[in-house]
Amino acid sequence: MTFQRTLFSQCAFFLTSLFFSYTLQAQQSSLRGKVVDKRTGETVSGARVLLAPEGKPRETQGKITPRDGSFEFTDLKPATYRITITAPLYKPLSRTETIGETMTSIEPEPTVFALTPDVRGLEEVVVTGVASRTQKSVAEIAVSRVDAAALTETNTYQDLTQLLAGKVAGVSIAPASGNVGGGVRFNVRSGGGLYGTGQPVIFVDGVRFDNSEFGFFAGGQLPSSLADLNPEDIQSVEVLKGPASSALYGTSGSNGVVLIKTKLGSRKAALNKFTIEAKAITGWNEPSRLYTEQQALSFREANALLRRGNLTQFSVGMSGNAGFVNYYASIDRRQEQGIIAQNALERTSFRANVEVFPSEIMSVKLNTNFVTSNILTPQNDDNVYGLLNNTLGFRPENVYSNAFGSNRPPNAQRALESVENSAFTQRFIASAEILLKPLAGLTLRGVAGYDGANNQFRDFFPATYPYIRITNGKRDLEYRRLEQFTVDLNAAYNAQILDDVQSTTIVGMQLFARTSRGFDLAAQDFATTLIEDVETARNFVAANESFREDREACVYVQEELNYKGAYFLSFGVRNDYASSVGPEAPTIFYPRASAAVRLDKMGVLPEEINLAKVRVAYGQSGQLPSSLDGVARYWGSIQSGYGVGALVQRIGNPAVQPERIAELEFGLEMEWENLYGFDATYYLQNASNSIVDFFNSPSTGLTVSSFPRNVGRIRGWGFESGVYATPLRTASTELRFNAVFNYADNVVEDIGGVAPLFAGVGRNVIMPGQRRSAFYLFRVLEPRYLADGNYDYAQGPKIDSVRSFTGASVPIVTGSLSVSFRFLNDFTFSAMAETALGHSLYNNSRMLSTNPARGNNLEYNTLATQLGLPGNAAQPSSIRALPAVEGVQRLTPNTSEYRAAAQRFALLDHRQFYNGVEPADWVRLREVSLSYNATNFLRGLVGSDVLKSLILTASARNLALWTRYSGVEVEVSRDGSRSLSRGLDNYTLEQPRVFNFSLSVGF
Amino acid sequence: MLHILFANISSVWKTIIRGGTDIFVCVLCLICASCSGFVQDIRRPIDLITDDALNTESQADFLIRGVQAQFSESYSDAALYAGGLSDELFFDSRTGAGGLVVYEEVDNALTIDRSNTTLITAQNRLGRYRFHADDIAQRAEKISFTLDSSHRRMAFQGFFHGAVARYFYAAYVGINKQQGGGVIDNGAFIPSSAMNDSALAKLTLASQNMTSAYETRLVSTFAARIHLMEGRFAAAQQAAQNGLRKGDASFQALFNLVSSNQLWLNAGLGRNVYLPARRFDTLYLRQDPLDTVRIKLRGPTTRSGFTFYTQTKYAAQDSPMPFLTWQENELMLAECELRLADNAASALTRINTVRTSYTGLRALPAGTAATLDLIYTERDKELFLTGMRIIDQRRFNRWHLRPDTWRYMPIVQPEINNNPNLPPLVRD
Repeated sequence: MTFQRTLFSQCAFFLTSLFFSYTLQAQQSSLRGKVVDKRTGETVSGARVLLAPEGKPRETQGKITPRDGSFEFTDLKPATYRITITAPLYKPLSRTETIGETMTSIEPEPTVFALTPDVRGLEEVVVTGVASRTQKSVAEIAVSRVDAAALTETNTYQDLTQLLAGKVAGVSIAPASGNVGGGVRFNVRSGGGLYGTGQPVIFVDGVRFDNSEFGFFAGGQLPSSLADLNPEDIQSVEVLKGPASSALYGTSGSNGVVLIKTKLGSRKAALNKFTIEAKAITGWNEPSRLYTEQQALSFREANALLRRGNLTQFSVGMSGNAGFVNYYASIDRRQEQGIIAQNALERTSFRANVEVFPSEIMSVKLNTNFVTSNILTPQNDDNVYGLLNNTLGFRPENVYSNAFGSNRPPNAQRALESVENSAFTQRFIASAEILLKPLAGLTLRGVAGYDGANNQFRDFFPATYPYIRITNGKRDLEYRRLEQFTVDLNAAYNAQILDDVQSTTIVGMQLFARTSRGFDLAAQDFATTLIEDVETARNFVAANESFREDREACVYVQEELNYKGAYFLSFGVRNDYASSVGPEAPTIFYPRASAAVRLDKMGVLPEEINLAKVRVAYGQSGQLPSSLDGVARYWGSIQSGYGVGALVQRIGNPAVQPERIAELEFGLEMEWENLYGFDATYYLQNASNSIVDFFNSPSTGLTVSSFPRNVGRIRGWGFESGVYATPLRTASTELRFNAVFNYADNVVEDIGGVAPLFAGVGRNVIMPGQRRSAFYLFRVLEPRYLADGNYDYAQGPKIDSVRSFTGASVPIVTGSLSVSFRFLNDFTFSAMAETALGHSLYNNSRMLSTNPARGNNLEYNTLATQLGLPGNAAQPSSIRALPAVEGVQRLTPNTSEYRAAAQRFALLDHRQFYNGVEPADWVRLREVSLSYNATNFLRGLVGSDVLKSLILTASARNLALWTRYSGVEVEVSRDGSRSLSRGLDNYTLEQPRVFNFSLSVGF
Repeated sequence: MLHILFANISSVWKTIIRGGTDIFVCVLCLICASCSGFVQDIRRPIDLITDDALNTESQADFLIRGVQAQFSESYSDAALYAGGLSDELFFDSRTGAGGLVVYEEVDNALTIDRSNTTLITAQNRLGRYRFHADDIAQRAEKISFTLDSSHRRMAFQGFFHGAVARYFYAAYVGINKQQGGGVIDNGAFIPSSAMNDSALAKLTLASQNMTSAYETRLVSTFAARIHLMEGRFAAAQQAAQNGLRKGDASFQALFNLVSSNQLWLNAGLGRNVYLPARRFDTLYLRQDPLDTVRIKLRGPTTRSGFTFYTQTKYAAQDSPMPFLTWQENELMLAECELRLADNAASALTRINTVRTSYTGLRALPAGTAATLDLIYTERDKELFLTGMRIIDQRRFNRWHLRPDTWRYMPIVQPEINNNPNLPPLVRD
């Protein structure tokens, strides 16, 4: 007998000895069964069968069905048993079986257990509020669930965002760049309010998870905190998409809430007691597209920077159940190189999750995760040391001019690749959850969590090379310590208040505290090229230290009513408190209400329709001001040649309050024959009191920061839907389709009467009547000519007298189409394509190349030569200095050819921002994978249960991209767009094409 | 045993629930109060302090050093962009600075993007300098000092820097290509002459709070410069006569590695975005090689077939920049004597006094015609990279570009956008 078994029986004995007498000498019997598909009658393999004497769940035992769907339990005492059968994509089945004494040796016919398909997981329990959980089939709100554990079984993912991309209706995810470990931006619905980063709040096992970007400015593609989370540890991800659903989800949930649950052994999965799973992944990143001469004359130099980067990952996970303890533990290490020098990630993650059931009324869950990672980020964007900007931005003979000026060393590429920018992280995340059911209907739940990260950043320019603006090398050390505490307490009381009416009353509170402290120390001018530490650099050029503390709290009450399992109604209120709110602001109060009706329960719809639900939900939530926003004026110190002096460093507003976002959503969910279905949600978002960052005019002298005022309004609306179908389903073959379609739009209604706010060097606008962050520019109309018919470069083209809308910087329509095909029992092929439509980008990479001083665009140079601009004394010096393209004939002014060339040339003039905006709709073949589950094959071969599973997968990411955009990459999001800039391609590193091969073995 | 315990707990709970809403409401109120207390109980930032905490005598020096730091920033910004706009510095992409559009635009002076962040930053810094100068002048009256000298010192710094900031607006900023002037605290546009008057008014207030004779002379030299800019030669002469004397220390802007000299950073060894005009090497130094004591250049450097020199007057990130010197005062006197009394002999003496104050630099031979031309050239050399050239070009009417070019740095777009007293969207 195994150790677990012994432990199990001992504990059971301890707690139940007063009532039960556990004996092995009882009369024994057996139960034989067969699991089949209710629709097709075919056997179901891989079903999990759990058996326990009624009322004694701790005596559960289990089996997994092989290919013929059969199972057998022997040595059973005569009693009434509860049998529960679960299988992927089937509704759980639970019923009682009475086992009598069978003294004979005649084998009875196996009992048939028929499972109803549930391809959508409608019966799975989802989170609908901070203390509310219900089945998806009766949820009053749109909630999306991603079964991460199933996905990681047949594919491999670098991080959380890859896991979610294209799989959640209403959410699109834009990576900042192709940097390994780089930041991302979640675009949730129509964007919520006007203020803030628009990012959802992320909870991991009940702990608020820091999702900031950090590190030195190496260009707008900073490392992301999300890279710390190991996707192999994730069991499921649920997304609440707006205030209608997140109104009671504590503070700051106005842009949605992402709830991540990590893996845990399950008491229900008690069958094997424990499983050890080892997984090895190997593969590589490679450039998906190379630069061409049309993009830059120096395309060869840029392509020389791109490389193949290897990746490997090893993980060992152990999960199981030991009586009243469920556990999951894993160790995981990933090493990955990006497609450009100085881009790499190394992550080691340890996780230990334990769930204990000391009694039937209580459970305690402890989750701990320790991660250590090191991310190397290359110099990016238009930063003077940017690798791509130094190549793509200059003619081949002038490459690396930005980084070295006139002191360009012969080995400039190597010199720039020697710049090191690393972020070293140690992060510890822990949570404890206590669940108490002291009496029937009452559930008390308490969660306390901690997320603490130590980050060390190092920015290093070796003394060996003459980098511009740096004397003899530089070392910059930065340290950041961030700690977040989350406390969540709630009580739910469930009672039958009338005939057929169930009531659940929920009361709770949430506390959140965040402290961050950090310092920065930079020195340059190394005394020797041999030693690299900061002490060896002679001159300190920066020293900063900071400490911030923020707190948030909320109290909420909710009432949920359920009439006959067909009508659902709930309403609630929340009161918020936050330290960043100004002392003169009013109290913060948010209401919510929702209702749903199950039409299929009315008996009026055909039987084939197994789900027809209409739902409506309304809720309000808010976006808090930033830390310190509530204080009118803060002074700090400034270092200068005079010593240390005082200056205003922050301007705030004592009356600042959160932005308020109200959302109304209507939904319809239908499913036929448990195989085909769709869900659709239409929503309206209305944000008022939006915080607009006002900038004082320079003449006030108070421009060191913006200051917040609650004057804005923005309205958003959209439609999101998912369609799914399983047209083919037999024991050995299954074909599934899944499509996601999202439409989201918004219009800014008010920004408090200030002039339009231009972000991203004046390309994106925020102004009434326009979509947020739209490109809003002066259109280029036609070229101007000199009196003699020659092109007038000095005056430039004629432009419109007013600005107008010239493109949306965030896609209006996004969507995905996935297919999953299981064949020959054990092979699964899956693929997903994603698309974004109604989308434009500002191609700053091209705009900089068409600057005649850079002269690095073939078409521009050719046209300029045709127009006779290079070397022409009548033209300004900038264009005069542009080298003419050899072999290109000069056209004659005043001819139609000349004018046609001039027309095109006017549209390449770098001085007109309008010329940078390009349509950038795209379709991308995002995921392709093939996996082979060799478990059955091996079992047949080895004939033993030692090897519980063996899965081989091969997968690829970003295999193909179709777009008319002229640059290499369409998914760009400068700063992960924490800044206001949207859709700015500023020498953004392309998304790599990734190939992964994995082997997963279970013991 | 356990079930008895649970039964008890159940009955307690049932009592509580039956006990009604009173307790429930009380608990909620308690929770709310504790939430409110919880969020207010935070520690303050370690690197910041609220405004009123600085209203003490002991903070005076801390505040003054803040204004001084911003003086250095604003002065070197002004000298850089004014240098580019004038014929003192020029831009050439062949040094590797291609793509730094704004510097090229400023050099060409034909169209300058008012939304350029580099220019906005510079104007923000000037505004900040003005605000902080005025702030300490006001604060000096709020604080009760134990020492009158401390009060005078703070007030002097406030008024003096208030004057310098206003002078910067008058000299370097403009609403359009031809009209200089600036804006103070969201007010209406103030043309250069009115802005200079307001600078002089501040100087008068400063002079009521002086603590040394040197400060008196400093204020006079500065006033003389402003009068000269306005073409009031008699007033300029009168002020200059009370100005800095031979041997007086220069009034300098100081820098360090954190707050660097912009001319080093962008027009020097930091990077060669701007280069000194060719006349400095091909004309001045060729005529008088010993003038390298004033016109410090490194070179020639050749790149892509292009030969250029780099200034080394500010050879390091923290090289100080002279703002007011006795030499300038002397040249102002020479100019006034020429203009008012045509006293060429005295003017030449003064020019030579300036020249011979540098080791190795010879006096101009007797008989040299001391003309306004000579003054203009000597000022070009003496005041190399101090932001004076553009003022002189305007004063002497020697603009080097076509007439429809910028002679001031444009008031930036955020000022036009956010200042209710300025006309909306100006298109150039």
